[in-house]
Amino acid sequence: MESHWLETQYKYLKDTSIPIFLGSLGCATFIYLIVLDANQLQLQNWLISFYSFTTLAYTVFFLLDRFYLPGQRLNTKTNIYWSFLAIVWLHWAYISAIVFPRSDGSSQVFISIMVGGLASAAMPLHLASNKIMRSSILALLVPFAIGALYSGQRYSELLSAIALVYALILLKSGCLLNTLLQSEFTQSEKNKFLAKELENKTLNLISNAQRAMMGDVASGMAHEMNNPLMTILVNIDKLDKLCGESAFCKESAKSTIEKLKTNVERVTRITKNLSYFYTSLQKKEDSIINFYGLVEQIIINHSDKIAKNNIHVITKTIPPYLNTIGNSSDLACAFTHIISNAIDACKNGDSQPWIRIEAAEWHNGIEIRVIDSGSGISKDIQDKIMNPFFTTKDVGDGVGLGLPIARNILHRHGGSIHLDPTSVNTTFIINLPKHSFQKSEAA
Amino acid sequence: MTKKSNLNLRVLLVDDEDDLRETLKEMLELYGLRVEVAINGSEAYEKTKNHIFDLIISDIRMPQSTGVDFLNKLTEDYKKKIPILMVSAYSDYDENSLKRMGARKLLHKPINMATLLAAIEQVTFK
Repeated sequence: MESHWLETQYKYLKDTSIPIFLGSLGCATFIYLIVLDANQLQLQNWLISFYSFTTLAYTVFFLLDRFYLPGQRLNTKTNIYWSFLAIVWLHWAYISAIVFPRSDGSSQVFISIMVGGLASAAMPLHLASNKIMRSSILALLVPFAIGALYSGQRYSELLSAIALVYALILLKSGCLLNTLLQSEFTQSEKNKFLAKELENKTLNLISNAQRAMMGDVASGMAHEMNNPLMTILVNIDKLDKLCGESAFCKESAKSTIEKLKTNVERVTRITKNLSYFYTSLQKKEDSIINFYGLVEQIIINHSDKIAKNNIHVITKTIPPYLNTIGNSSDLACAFTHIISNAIDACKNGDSQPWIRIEAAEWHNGIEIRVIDSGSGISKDIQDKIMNPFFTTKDVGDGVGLGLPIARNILHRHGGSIHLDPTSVNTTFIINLPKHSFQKSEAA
Repeated sequence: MTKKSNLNLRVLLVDDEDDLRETLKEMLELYGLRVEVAINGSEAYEKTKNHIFDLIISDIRMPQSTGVDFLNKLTEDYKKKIPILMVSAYSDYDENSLKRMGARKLLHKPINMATLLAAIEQVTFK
């Protein structure tokens, strides 16, 4: 829930930062002109310093938000801290704008304004406001009131008193509104969140039960077939060996043996996948797995296929420190299915095929995207791709169990997989829980 | 594995499926191994008392006495000396737990001769 709350706060902070900026600029200019009786030159100085600091602050904030690590989202907490810093800077710029053009040695004024400004800059965050605008005006008014009091200009006491009263009213109503809005807001958000969660869980439960039942039947059959299949395989090997050693064995017999072998191996592949489909639902030993290492290993294992089809594999956005916890062979199996699907999808596509694997920390987990240059999955079959035995590959190429196996494994690890329907290229989004060393050490 | 292997090992083959056991025995013998057979775990255990083997290949799920029972009856010393290859048509055991019981490797049926011979070479390699 904490990360959900942070996300909402961040959204509001972002949405309100422009009005805060413009509002405070206008407000400050107005105050400066009227109250401090500034001349043209002072106003210019003031505007320049104000602009330079606020622009710097907002540039840093937005640059970090938009362009830091392209293709990845920043940790939400980090965003909040940076936005907070931006607001602090904004206020500092405001203060400096008032003080610097008038620097006649009254350091007392400067210090009191700065303290007031910094303290009030902390207010938006302290109030955890979804009405940050209100808090920011408040934050601007408090230092102004103090500044006006010290400035010794005409009407300064009166203006200072008005500003303080207004600030107090704002503070009072802001707090009240905040508490009301926030509790209402979080309650309705929480309800929505819980309803969605419940729906997902119910759907999961139903499909898990169906899958478990189907898994039982299928794997039971597959297991029973394994013994006779092995007898057939070994007998074919025996025939092959006898035929190879005999001068009387005809060419046609040899090709028949080859056909037998190919087809039995095909059945074998199906039964093996079916058994794996079943075992992918069972709990196994867990260990800490480095995600980058896992992906690298799979790519090495597929290097023949990748080189043959001239596929460019991009993994450079995977941070080397991302760890998850789980059964290593199972997770390797899940990602092997996903990545080899991607290879198959882009090998019959364009002239410069590529696969991009991205990973980033997201909330308390890892979000992984496997994107290929293939033309995507058409809308009418998007719902079916996770169904066992559904395949778009040629007969004999795929059994249609790769994605269901991957999904079972990921679900068992507390993760999920889904297709991004909005993406032009085929994009699978995989979520897995993150493992952090500190947490396990503390536990 | 097209070339003829000359492994010259004494092997105990334990499997309850008659057809499979007999064909495997024949095939392994074609590759130069000397093969003794047993149809379940307890018979296999009796054979280890009277015969010397270089390798044991055992199925897991068998009537009366399973491959795991057989594995548990063997002493730690014996299991350290003699490599044991487990073969199963079922996926209820994972390789790590069998390794802890003293087996060297687990193969999932169905497998062809090439895979089996490769695994034999792997576990008997010194």
